[in-house]
Amino acid sequence: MQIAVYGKGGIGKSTVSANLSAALASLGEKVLQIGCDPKHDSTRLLHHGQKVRTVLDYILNTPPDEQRASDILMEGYLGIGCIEAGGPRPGKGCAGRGILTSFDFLNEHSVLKPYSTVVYDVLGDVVCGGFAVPVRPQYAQAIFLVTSGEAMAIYAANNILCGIRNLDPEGKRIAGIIYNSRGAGDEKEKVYDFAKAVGLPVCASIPRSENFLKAERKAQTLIEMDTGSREAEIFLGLAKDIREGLKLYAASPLSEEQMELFMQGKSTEEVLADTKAKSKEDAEFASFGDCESCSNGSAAGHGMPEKGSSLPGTKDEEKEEKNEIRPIQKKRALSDPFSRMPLFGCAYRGAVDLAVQVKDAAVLGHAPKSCTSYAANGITSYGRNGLFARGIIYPAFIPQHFDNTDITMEDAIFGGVEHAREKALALAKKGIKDIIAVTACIPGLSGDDLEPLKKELKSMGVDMYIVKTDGVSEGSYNEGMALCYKTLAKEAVKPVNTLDKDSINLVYELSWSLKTQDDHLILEEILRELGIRVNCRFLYDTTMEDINGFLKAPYSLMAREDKLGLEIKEIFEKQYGCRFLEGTLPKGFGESKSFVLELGKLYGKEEEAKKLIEKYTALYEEGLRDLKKMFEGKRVMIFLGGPCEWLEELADDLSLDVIASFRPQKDSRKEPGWNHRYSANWKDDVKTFLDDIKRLDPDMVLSSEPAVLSDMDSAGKKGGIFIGRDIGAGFLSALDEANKWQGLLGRELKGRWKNDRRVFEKHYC
Amino acid sequence: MTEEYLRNTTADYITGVISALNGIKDSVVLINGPTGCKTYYGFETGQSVIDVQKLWGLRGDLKIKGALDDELLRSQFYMGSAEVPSTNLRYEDFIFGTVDQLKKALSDITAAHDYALIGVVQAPGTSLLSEVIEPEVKAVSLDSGVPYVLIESPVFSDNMLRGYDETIFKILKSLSEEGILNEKVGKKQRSVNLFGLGSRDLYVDGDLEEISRLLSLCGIEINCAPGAYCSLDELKDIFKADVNIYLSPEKCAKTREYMESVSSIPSFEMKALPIGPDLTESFVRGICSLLGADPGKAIEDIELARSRIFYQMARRTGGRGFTKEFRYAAEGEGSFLAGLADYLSGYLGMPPKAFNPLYTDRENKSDQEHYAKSKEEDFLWDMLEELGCSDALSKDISKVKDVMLFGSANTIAHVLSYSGNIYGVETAYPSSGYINVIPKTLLGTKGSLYILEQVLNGRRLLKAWD
Repeated sequence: MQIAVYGKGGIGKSTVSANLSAALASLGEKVLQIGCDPKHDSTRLLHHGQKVRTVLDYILNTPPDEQRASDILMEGYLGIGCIEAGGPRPGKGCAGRGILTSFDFLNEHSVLKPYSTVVYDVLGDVVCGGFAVPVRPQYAQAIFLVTSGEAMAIYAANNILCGIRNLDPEGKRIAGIIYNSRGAGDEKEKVYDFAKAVGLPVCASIPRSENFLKAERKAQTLIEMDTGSREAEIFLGLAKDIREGLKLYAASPLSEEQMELFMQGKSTEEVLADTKAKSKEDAEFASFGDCESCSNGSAAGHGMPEKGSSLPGTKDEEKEEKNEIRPIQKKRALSDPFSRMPLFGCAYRGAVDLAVQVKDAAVLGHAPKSCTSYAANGITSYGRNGLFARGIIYPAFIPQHFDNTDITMEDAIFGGVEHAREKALALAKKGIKDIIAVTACIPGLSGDDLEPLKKELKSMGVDMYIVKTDGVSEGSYNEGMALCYKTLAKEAVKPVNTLDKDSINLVYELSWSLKTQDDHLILEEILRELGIRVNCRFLYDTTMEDINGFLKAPYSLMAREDKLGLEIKEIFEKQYGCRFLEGTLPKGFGESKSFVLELGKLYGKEEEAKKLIEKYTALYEEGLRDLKKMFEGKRVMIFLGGPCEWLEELADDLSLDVIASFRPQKDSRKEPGWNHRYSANWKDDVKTFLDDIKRLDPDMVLSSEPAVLSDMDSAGKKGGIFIGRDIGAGFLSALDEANKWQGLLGRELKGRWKNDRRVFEKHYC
Repeated sequence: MTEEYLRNTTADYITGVISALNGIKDSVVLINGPTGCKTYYGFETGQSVIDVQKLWGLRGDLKIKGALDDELLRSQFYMGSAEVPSTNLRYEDFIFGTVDQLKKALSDITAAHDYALIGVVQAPGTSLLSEVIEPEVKAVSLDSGVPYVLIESPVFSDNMLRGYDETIFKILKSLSEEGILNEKVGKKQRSVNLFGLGSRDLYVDGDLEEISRLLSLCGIEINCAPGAYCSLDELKDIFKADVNIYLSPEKCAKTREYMESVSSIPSFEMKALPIGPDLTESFVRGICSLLGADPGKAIEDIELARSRIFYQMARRTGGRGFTKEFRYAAEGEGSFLAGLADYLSGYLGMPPKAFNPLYTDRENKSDQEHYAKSKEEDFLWDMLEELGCSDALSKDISKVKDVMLFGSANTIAHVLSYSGNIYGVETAYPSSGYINVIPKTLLGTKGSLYILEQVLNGRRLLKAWD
């Protein structure tokens, strides 16, 4: 038999639990009491105040292969086994997680096995999943609620019933109420009224008595101190009832409205008559469990103790009954699949992806290994693919110093700052001068604070930048990138003594694309011809030294510009007075020409700029001449997922006849912000476009969304061309794109492989 | 000590959990966590394995039965990739609970696609909540008729192989407790269960094909290979086999313990994977001896491979074997390294330069402790000591030069970033992205020949001939 004792904090659960354990033991039961309160004082009266070693403390300090159950098991009065789960220090970690970990330990070591009765003394309330562990079906078969007649104690008791109902809507596992008197006014009546309202018996009524205090001073239970006392008799009676088999009841708590009526002193009948409130509450419960069986259970269970079952329970019969009435399985409609737009990636990874771009800094992930392995492999995937596809090693995607604290379960429970400190000091010892610490969800949830460590490292001459992508609150990959960009922009840029007048900074390059380096080489070629060098790439294949010296360059260029880009730009402008060029990294002829003209003007290199433009104009016009022979006058339809200025310019220059240009609709409520395929409007948008193809019969279809092209067959049109919205940098990039179209236009080779669908289905479906 | 970067790229416990669940054909693994936790795990596994549910977005003539529902694929739970959906949790779910999202996801997933098994895995952050979610998972399972396995704790920062092993054990135990596994009657004659191959093995399909081929030459059939894309029906009949084979014991300890506790099926374990003709022959003879089968045809097959190896070695090395300068380095689990060392060093006579056993307790050791013997590597150490090559275990693989390097593409790329003279042979995920269409293997006779082909060509590219 396993028994859980729940109740409001300070109500006397531990005293009740200990006396109950002692009474059961005196009747011959082999009893184990497990205290589930970080205060670890539940079993004190049984073991007479021995020094306690809690399960969690033990797990934390003992290597797994040296752990023995006997090390945490104390023997108390009449051989009662005493265990305290323990927990983190107040304000740290996650105590609920600690309870779960303790129970895992107890199971792994089969600690419960030798005992005929286990009593769980559980902290205050079912405040979180961890403290609900004893209520799980494999643990407590009977649950007692300890309450006095005080309002808060009764509220807590009702709340515990709500918790039990949520966790086990169909179960009948409440033994009843233990009324622990505080000697206040009409409390007895209140407790009995409450018991009646929730359909539970009062199993024991414990009077307020000085004897409890006397026994406590001796670190004993009353059973031990004075077995013949009136109070001891009550516990012995309860223990006998337990041995003989308790009647158990479903949890049937009062709704908020009913509790209000109850506290106002309304009669039980009046409270229960508020069926509207009750049924509303039932509906809420039903939404957490199995609707059908839960509502059946509540109709029968509320205020109807005669429906109670005896121990051992009749679970299996109930299960069979339930299976019989379960409706035949039928396919259901999907819930609104777009009701909550997904976030792309995770913040930790976004931050790490950027942080590793600072090659002379160490990145210290404060995370479980899974997060870091995920991040590390995400970064290196570009490096691996680059090596395979192009035979090039891209330094940007080979992290240099990337260590991780490998947060363990113990760190999650007790806090992992000390672990992070060890790692950071080891990095400092290796001579690392800059550490970018990126903290993941787990330290966020358990409340790790690295700021004191940052100060300690500063005193050793090491700068630590903390990017707090912790707690899932930070959201997506972009949010993590934003935090890393902003932290380094605000904290790592230092004042400089001298300017390098022929230099420029490049800000906000795409960190996760192989194309970034290609674009950079094109930009460098343009800059070189103008006699300008790149001072700092913020943040792509860069160094902390370059970031520290960001202010040396008189101007900066945004590689791309979106909401985050503008925020970063604003930091540089407002905090440091930086000046930025108009626009972004130029793509296509027109943008490149304007960019070079502006550079020439700002850097006093007008003549060089003019020559450069003349050179590229000749190349561009020559390329256009050849392409026009094929494309001039072609009727084109375009489907674009976003802005694409270069295409408009190219279409003009090639004299294409753009008969329709289509952009998917935006829905601010459901806009995922990164891929139209996941928007609710996608299907309608595609259908409209395909209908237009049928109607207008174009010569060419260009789309930035490959999925549209796979649908074109249904519009009776083949040979659509995929275009990347984001082409390469420089004067000739749009021309390069159009050159690729040449080979595709007019080709409609279907491929006979499609005829083998039947064979595939035969073998694999 | 091997560099932090290389340690960080090895997979962890939760990856092992997911790969074990993914290794059941037509299963779905739902991560109860934010989408960020989902996006990585699906990238790497089973790239060459044919899996119909990964066909999506196909229309018209190509609409395949069994392909994933397009609307479901575009939903918040799948977010565009068929592998490993998540419940798409947000901050508020971590305060108020995850059950609503979980129910919605399970309901949509089971409504729109016929899966054989539902695996629900708590993400690291979600596991901290210690919520009771089993009743919800169970209810959906009962409703849909699809069995489930729930993994409540991803055991932070622990070993991938342990995650894999404990999950295979959990799958078997859960299905057994639910009465889904068939009774131990009606045994299949000369059939074996094969444990230790997993969906995160680079060549899982080729490995399975080669082991099946060799055993079928002896008249032995593979009954079930848990974790290597076996079907639920095969799992149901797992107790009908005559022998349980445990390849990669580091991946099977818990599973073996369980199988031995619930059945009397004899166990056959290989401490080293059957790589190279000698270990392949030991493997075949060992199994045949247990089952009373005739290994003749398989031995003949191995002999043919031996002959081919002999010819190539004699012709390419002039009978002298490899020069001492031609060395190799390798990383991987102990049983893989032991198999490779036996073949490359013991059989072909090629000295090793560095070994980096992965997924052992040495990964988190300090500099001094890192090269101390790890308890998972006893067999490997003994073998290398016998070959006189145990010094390779104390060399840092991230610093090797002028070698053939057997490992993941991460390690190959990392070493190549400072040494141009490396010939890399991919033996594990993460890969370079090369798409394997022909099933490949490193095991058995086919694997022996494939490895030799790499060695001989690598030797030429490294200019390491005489």
